[in-house]
Amino acid sequence: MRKTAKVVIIGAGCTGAAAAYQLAVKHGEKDVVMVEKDFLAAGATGRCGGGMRQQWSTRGNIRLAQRSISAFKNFQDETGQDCEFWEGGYLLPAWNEEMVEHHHTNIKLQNEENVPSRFVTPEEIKDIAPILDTTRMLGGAYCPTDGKANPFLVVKGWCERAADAGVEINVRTEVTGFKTSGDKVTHVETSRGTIECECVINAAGGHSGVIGKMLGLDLPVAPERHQILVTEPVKHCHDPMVIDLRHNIYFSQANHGSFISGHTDYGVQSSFNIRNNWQFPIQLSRKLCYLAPPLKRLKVVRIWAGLYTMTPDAQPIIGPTPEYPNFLNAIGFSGHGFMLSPVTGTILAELITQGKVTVCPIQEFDIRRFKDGTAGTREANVV
Amino acid sequence: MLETDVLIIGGGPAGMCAAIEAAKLGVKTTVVEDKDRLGGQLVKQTHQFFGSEKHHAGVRGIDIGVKLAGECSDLKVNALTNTTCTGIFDDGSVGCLRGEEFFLIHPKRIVIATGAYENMLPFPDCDLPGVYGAGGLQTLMNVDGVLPGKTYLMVGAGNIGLIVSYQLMQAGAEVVAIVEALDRVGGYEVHAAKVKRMGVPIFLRHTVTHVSGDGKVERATISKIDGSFKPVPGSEFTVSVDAVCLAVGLSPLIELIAQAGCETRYIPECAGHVAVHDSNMRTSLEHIFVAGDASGIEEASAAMVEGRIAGLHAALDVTHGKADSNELLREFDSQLDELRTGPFGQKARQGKSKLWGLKLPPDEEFEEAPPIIPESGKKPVIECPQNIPCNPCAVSCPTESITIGDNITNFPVLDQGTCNGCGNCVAACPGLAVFLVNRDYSDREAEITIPWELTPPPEKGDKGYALDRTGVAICPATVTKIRRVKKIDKKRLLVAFTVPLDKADEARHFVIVEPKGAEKIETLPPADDIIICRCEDVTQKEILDCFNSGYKSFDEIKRYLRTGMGPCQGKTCQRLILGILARELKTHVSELAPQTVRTPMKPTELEIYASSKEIEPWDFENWQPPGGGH
Repeated sequence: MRKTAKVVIIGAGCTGAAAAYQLAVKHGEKDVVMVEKDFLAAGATGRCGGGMRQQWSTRGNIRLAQRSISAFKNFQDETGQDCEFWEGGYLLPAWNEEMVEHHHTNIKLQNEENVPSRFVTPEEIKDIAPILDTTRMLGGAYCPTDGKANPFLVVKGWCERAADAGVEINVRTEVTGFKTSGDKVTHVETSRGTIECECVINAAGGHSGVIGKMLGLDLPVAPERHQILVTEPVKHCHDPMVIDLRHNIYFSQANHGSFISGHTDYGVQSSFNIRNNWQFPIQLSRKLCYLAPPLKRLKVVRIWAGLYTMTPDAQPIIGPTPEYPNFLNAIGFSGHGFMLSPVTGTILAELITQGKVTVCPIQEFDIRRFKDGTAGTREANVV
Repeated sequence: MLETDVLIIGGGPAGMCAAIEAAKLGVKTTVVEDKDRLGGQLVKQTHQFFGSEKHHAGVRGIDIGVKLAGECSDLKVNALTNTTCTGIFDDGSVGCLRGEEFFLIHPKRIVIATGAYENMLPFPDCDLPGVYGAGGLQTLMNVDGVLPGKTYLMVGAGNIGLIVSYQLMQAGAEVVAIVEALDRVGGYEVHAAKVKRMGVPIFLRHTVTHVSGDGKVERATISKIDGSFKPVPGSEFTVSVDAVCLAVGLSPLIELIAQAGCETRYIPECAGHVAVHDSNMRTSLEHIFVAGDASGIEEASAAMVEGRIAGLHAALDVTHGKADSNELLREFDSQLDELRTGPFGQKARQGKSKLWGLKLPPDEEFEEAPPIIPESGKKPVIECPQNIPCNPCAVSCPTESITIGDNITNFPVLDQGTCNGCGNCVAACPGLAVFLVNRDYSDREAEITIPWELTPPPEKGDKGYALDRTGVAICPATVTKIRRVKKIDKKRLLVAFTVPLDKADEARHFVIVEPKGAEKIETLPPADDIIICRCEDVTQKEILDCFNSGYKSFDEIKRYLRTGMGPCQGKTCQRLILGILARELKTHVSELAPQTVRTPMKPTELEIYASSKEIEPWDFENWQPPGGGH
């Protein structure tokens, strides 16, 4: 393992991988070492549903998502790796007037940012997603340019190209501490040695708070278990990712043919626990059978869980830490790190190589917002 | 939701014995069994058990199963058949699937006795229809009454390979050969002798290299292998078969153990990853015990005793040790010690010693069996050349002429002076290794009495051939007598036939039609890749490519290739992939992490989960988030 590097990236999930790729391949900064305590995509990236959407309720999230989706679209051309990108759209049903109103408000905001989302009638929903029972739906928000991709293949593509460009990727290498000098982090200590560096990216996902603690930082992130299930594969019969905010569930059909679905646990407490409980498959199956009755004879083959890293406003923290300006966070994506990872990588690379960000405004993601009271409204479109 | 004191998962020999001991202490005992009856593997075991009386020696496995199930019923054990345990959760509840219902059991203690699953041998076209696991084939044949092929190649000369070969022939099939990768027969020599004298060749240091056929197995190619198990070029030959049966070992089925969160460890002598457990069979989780093959592969006799120990300790936990069971526990311990003596108990002894941090017991060599060859009169010839823990020959002898002594692995000793030549020992020997030889039958002929378990049996007066110990016809023979010793075994016949006097020490089997050996046919080239993960169709080449791209653990390969993500959750491929990784990384499987096991153990329909009564029904019309949350 190298003893020095300009940039040390902690974590080889989608965020770390995107940063490595952007730095080395797109921004000419090849002096990068990546350290990962397990293996590529072993954490939340490898456990997520793989969806990506622009239908958000805050302008900041909309902008990040929009730029990310175009990057996923061009992924194969850029990296040579097929990431199974599928533009199947996202559909968010509305069950009452309040939800109709909520969707209309968001669609207006999204359209202002040139996201082609629109309100669809129950009849249109029947065309978009014939397996849905639309009887009690009043319509829904739909964006045809949302989609999904395979998170493993995305991380693989980025990491392989980054490695080709000279990034050293160290898996099974755990960060154990830091050395600092004044307000500068000077060394990253790992289970396999110490690396002297000019800059550190904390992309440790669910464990980013633990990394912060090693520097005495109390990062406002809380890991939270989210369970997810997958069914046996069937012939392709369903295009969009469905997000039902009323019933707290999302589901889609993967490239492989299986249906993947999850929800936010009822009464979940922050912890690192990613073991499953017996309630989850019962609760989720009820909702899935209610929404899409033709799926009811499908068999669940596996249930797992991963960590959402929640922030108080369910929006990410991206950028330098006031206490240590050369310690950059890209954390707290609150369940949406994968879909935002391409632009996050670009932001981090621009910050490091140019000292400023041009791809989109990032003041909304500044960690200081929680202390100085400038945090905006909480992102409402979260499952 | 069902409350119980002790829950036993798996109603095989270990599980039933655990239930019996727990129920005897008066605690509420429940057994969950995914088949339609209790018995586990016993329901298809038509051969007699070895051992002593307390281990049901001389009784057929199927009859032991019925007997133990009867005891469970007498003791009011709640036996939930057709029920699969699909997960053990952190709040102590156990998820179960029965028909269209998903429900929970809340036990105070759990005994996991889930047994084993069959190992797969990968070779080109190993997924062609016609390649069977020996256990699966035994189920088809002995439980369902289906014989899926007429001519077989058996791979593996351990006890299962030998026993199933014999049973195939009992069912009327032909076994063209048995191939064994090692340089010795792994199973009991007496089991090998049974099939050899029926004309089945056993090729040591040979394996099946590939099969071929049009949509199903039609031919199997066999090759000699060298010291590092690589095929020797030019040594291959092909036989015409319509089925290949794999008896290449069992692995402990520890899915639930791992999913529940018990610590596991790879112990080669236990044949795979097993739950770390103490001599009371308690795992690293206080409320979970393990017994039988799931705790390390052994004979069913040992599984039954382990079950008793686990069941008793589980029940003692519930009664807070009120019953005084020390004497019983000592008895069980000594039974296990007895079963694990001798060369055949060596692996189990060493495996458990590793688990318990004890000094490894020394290797034991087979002793040379003293030949017992009577020179005159009508006397038994006992061809029992190994130290098998077994004594029915001695127990069945009405004149006490056969003795074993204190150590059950001793060789039987015959006192020719007191023996009256009754033939009970021929009827009793579970290994079919005792023959009655009457050298005084006539001036020129000897009469040989052999144990007979084939259909149709010959009739008195039938003329045919006597076969020697390798199945070669050596002389004409005439059947003189057919009888049974009902008080010993209702099914087995004793067939007596005459041979020329000088063949008395060679003739060991009788046939009416002279057997012909298997014909060698043209060898076709093998397919160029091998399926490793059958659920997701992943080949050896793809796995090696993935490995060479830097993904060097099972979990990584799983993420990129989907190996282990199918309905079997890696039961077949995990062992194979860990083997490939160990080879490529030049390490041992014990150093590699197995995959994370997930609920449900058996694919479960969404609607079955949705309709579970474990959560009050929901009113979607007037939707209120459960618990008032999100």
